[in-house]
Amino acid sequence: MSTLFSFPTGSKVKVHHYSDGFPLERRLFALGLVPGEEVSILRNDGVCPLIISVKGSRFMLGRSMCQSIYAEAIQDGGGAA
Amino acid sequence: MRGMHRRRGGLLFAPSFHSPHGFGHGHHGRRTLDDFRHAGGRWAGADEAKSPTVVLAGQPNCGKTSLFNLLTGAHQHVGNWPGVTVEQKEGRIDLAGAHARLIDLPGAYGLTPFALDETITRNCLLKDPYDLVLNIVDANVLERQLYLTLQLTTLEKPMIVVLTMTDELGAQGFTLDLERLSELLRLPVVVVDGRTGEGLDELLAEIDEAIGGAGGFVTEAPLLSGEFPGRLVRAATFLAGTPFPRFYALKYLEEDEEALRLVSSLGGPAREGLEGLRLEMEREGGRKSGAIVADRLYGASRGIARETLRRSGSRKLTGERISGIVDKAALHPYLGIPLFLLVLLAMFELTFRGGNLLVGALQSALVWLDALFGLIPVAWLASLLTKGLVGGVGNVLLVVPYIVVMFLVLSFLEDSGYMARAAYIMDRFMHRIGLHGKAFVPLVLGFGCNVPAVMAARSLESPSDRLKTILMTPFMSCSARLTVFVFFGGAFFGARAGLVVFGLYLAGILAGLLTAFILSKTVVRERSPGLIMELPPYRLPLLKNLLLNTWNKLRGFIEKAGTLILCASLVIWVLSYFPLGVSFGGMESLIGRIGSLIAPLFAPLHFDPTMTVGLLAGFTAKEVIISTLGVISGQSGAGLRAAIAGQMSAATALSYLAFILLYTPCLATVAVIRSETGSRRWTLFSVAYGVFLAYAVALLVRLLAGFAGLA
Repeated sequence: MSTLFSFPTGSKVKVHHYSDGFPLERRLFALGLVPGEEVSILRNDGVCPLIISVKGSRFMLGRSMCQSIYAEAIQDGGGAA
Repeated sequence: MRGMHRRRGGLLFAPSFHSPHGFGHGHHGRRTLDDFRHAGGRWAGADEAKSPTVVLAGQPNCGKTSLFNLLTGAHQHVGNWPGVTVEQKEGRIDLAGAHARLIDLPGAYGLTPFALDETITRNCLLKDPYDLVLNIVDANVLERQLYLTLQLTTLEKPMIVVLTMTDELGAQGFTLDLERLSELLRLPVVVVDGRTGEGLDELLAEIDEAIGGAGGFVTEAPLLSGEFPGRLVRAATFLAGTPFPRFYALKYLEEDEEALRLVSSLGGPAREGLEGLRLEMEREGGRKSGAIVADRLYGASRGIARETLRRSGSRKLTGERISGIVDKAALHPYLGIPLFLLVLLAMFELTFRGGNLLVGALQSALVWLDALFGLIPVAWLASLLTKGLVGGVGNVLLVVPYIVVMFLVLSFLEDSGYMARAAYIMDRFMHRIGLHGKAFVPLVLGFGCNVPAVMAARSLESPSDRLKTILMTPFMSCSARLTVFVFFGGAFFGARAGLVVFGLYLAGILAGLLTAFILSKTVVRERSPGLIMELPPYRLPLLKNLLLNTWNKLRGFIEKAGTLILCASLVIWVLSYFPLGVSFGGMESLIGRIGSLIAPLFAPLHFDPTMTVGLLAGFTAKEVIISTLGVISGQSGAGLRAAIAGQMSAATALSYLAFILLYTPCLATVAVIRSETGSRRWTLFSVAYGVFLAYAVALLVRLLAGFAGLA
C-alpha cells in the first residue's frame, strides 16, 4: 500500500484510507473517492496535479493532497500509458 | 413514465411566497429554523402566495444551464450586475395554465457543503420556500449523480428527476431502463435533450401536474435494500415534528456540524437516541459513521445504476478520442502554457478585429445623431445633447460590438470545458503564490466583469484562498476597461492595438499574482489545501447558451449606460458648462477648477486636469472615463480618438492606461468585495492598495516610455 502520489500514469488502484486528520476527506467522499473504490491514475507527470478517473468522471487532485490518500495497486501502470 | 408513484391529496406543503433573490441577500440564512418553528411550521408570510417556485438542483457540469435556458427561454434575469453566473439565476416557466418561478441553484456534489456555493444551495433547499425540485442528472455518470439524488429525496419534497445527455450514453454503448429507475427512486423520471429540446413538453406536463394539483404528492423513500434505509427511518423518528427529519437524521449520522447543533439543541431523547444509533453504526462498521454513510449512499447509487444501465452495443469512442488528443496538448506540462497564452491572444485579436468589423454602422449612427442634435437652435440644449448624451453615453455604447465578441469568446471557453484545463496548467504557478489552479477560473472570468468574478471565488473550499482570490480579481481587466483601451488603442497604437491590450491584460494578471504572493508571505499565510476539481469532457457549446449568456451580460452593460453613465455624463456636462459664459470644459469651468485642484497630485505622471477628472469620475465605473473625455471634448467616435491623440503623448497615454488598469475598478466591485469578504478592513485595503499600485506602476511606465523615446 502507498499513497496515490506514488502510482504512475496508467495504474489502477483501490482507495484504502486517508491519513489521520486529513481535512478534505469528506469532500473527496462526495466525489466518490470512498474506501474500496477503484481509481485509475490517468496522469501523474511529476509536475502538474494528478488526473484520476473514478466512477466514470475525471478529477484533478493537487499533488500534495495525493500524499494523504492511501491506496492498493490492482494493476501496474508500467510507466507512461 | 408519468407519475407512477405519486399519491395525490397527501401531505400539504406550504405555499410559496415571493422572496427577493437579489444580490447579497436571500441566501445567507436570513430565516432560521427557529423562525420556521415560531411560524408554526410554515414560513412567515406564507399567505402572500404568488406563482409556484421550482428549484433546479444538480451536480456541477450536469447540463443544468442548458435546461434552465430551455425552460425559461429569454425570461430570465441574473441580478443587478452584468454577467452574474454564480448568483442564483431566476427565470419564468410558462406552463399550460400558469407561470412558475424557476430558481437555478449553484451546482453541488452533495448536500454537505464544502464551499460557499454549495452552502448557498443547501441553505436555499432548507430555508427558502419552494414547491418542486427538479434534479438534473447526467446519465453518463449516473452512479455519482445519484449520490446527490438520494440525499435530495431525504428532503421529502416533491421532486422530478430530469435525465440529460442520454445521447452520449448511447455512444458509450449503454441503454437506461427508465421505468426501473423511476420505480427504484419512486420519483417521476423524464429524459430531456438539452441540445434539441426533445422531451421538454413531457417535462413541462410533469411540472404542471406536480405543482398544479390540489395537494401535491408525497415523496416516499427510495426502494433501497440493506440495513441502512431502515436505520435512517428509525433515526428520523427521533426528529419527528421538526422540519426535514430524514435529512437531518442522515446528516447527523454523517456528523454534519449543523445537524449536530440542531440535535444538541433539541436535547433529551432525540440526542440520546440518535447518538446511540450513530455509535451502533460505528461499532458494527469499525469506521467513522461519516465514512459508513458515504459508503452506504454510494452502495445504493451503484445498486440502482447496475440495475438500470444495460450494455446494448459497442462503445463508439470518437468523442473521447478527440478529447484525448486535444488534452495531450492542452494539459501538457510545458506546451500547455504557451497554448493557453495563444488562446488568450486569439481572444483579444478576435475582440478587436470582430469589433472593428461591426463598429462602423454604430459610428455612422452616432455621427448622424450628433449632426441632428446640432440643428437644435437652443444652444444649451444642443450642447447637452451633443456633448452630454452623444459624447457621454454614445461613446460608451460604441464599444458594444467589442464587448459582444469578448463575452462570446469567454462563454465559449467556459462552456467548452477549456477553463478547467487552464486551471490545471496554471496550478503549479498558482502554488508559488500560495493558491491553486481552481482560483484561476474566477480570474479569467474577471476579464468579462469583476463583480461575478469576485462571487465566483465562492467555489473555493478554503476561506483564505477565497480572500486572496477576491483581492486579486480587481486587477483583471474587465470589459469596462476595454472601453477605454479601445479608444486609446485606436488613437495611439493603430494596428498594434490588439497586442498592446493583450500586454495590458497580462500586466493585470501579473499584478494580481504579485498581490497574492505578497499576501501569502505576510498576512494570509494559511496553506492552501490544494486543487480538487472536475475535468469535464470537452463539449461543443450550444449557440443558444452562448447567445443567452452574452445577452444577459450585455443587457447589464446597456442598462448601466442608460443609468449610471447617463447620470455621470450629465454631472460632467453641468460641471463643464457652468459657470455661464466660460469656454466649455475649459480651465475656468467648474470641472477645470476641480481638475486643477487635484492636478498637482498627478503632475509627476503628466496627467492634465481633464485626465485627472476622468480618473476621479472613473471610480464609479471605468466607462465613465471615456464618457467624461467625450463630454469635455464634445467629440464622439473617431473625433474623440483624434482629440485624445492630440491631448497627450504616447508615453502619457500608456501610463494613463496602466493607472486605469490597476486602480479600483468600480463602485459595484467595491460593494461586492465588501459583501463577499464581510470585512470593511479588507475592502479599504483593496481600494488603497489598488490606487497605490496604479500610481507606482504608472510612474514606472512613464519613466520607461520616456527612455524609450515615446514621450
